[in-house]
Amino acid sequence: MDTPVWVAGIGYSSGTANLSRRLDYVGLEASVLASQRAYKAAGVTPSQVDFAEVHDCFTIAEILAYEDIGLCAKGEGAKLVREGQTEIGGRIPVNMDGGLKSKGHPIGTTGCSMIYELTRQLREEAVEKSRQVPLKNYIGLAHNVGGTGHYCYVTILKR
Amino acid sequence: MSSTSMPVIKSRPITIAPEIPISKTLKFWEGLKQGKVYATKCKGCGKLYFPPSADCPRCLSTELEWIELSNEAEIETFTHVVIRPTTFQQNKPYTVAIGKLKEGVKVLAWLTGFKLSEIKVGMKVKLVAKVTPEGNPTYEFVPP
Repeated sequence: MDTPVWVAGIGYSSGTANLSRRLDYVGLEASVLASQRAYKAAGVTPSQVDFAEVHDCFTIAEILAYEDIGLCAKGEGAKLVREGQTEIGGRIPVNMDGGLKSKGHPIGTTGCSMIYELTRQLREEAVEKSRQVPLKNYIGLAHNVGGTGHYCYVTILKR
Repeated sequence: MSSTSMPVIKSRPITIAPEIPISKTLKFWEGLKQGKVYATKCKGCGKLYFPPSADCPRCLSTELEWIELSNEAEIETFTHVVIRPTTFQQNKPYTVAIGKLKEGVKVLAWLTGFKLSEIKVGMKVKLVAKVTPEGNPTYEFVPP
């Protein structure tokens, strides 16, 4: 409990609730804007983030999240998974707690659990040692989406 | 809904039918009954809105005018709904599509009159206003 974890930056955005008004069907504008604002507030770049918790409410949502929050270029989300870059030892380990579907996506509690996981990981006290991520910059990111993708919060924590 | 091997109690049936105020979009609803589909256009910045919006979220103007849309559309994307929500249980599986109109605005609507295998992104369709047998004004895409 003597290891503080700091809120380095929070970014949030709304987007359209109407699917037909989206600029793009393969991404969420709210995620893009929220992440840009969080990176700016925290003064970090996506490549400095050690690991992330992303809102994988559906399998495709996780792949689109990688692209929206800048973990990879647009259209390369699937490649990131195939190359194993989102696993321990990869460029950016993602959802070491198993993600939303593994935790039953308890809606509001999903966001709390993301912050809990980031905190435990940053303190190097992951619940199961086997899923402790290696830390270089001691920076973790949580990406949480609501509604039909029409709002998003990105939180960057730092030890 | 369905029976289960787990012990259950049955709740009272829940019926939700909210009354939605339409004073600001009355022309749209009346138009559907006359076979016309209206959008609104911002007099300030020129942006077109469908479903019609009474105010412009882009330039914050409250000066919008009514525009009757053409019926020429092109399918941008679609999905076929087999597992229907509770209130659509009485319907057969249906197809929902987003079509881009000649005016540039996009419309989300049911797509009827095609076999599922015939539906392709990019194909031309017609947007039509109609009143359902239950008396609800609506609009859908049909073959041109």
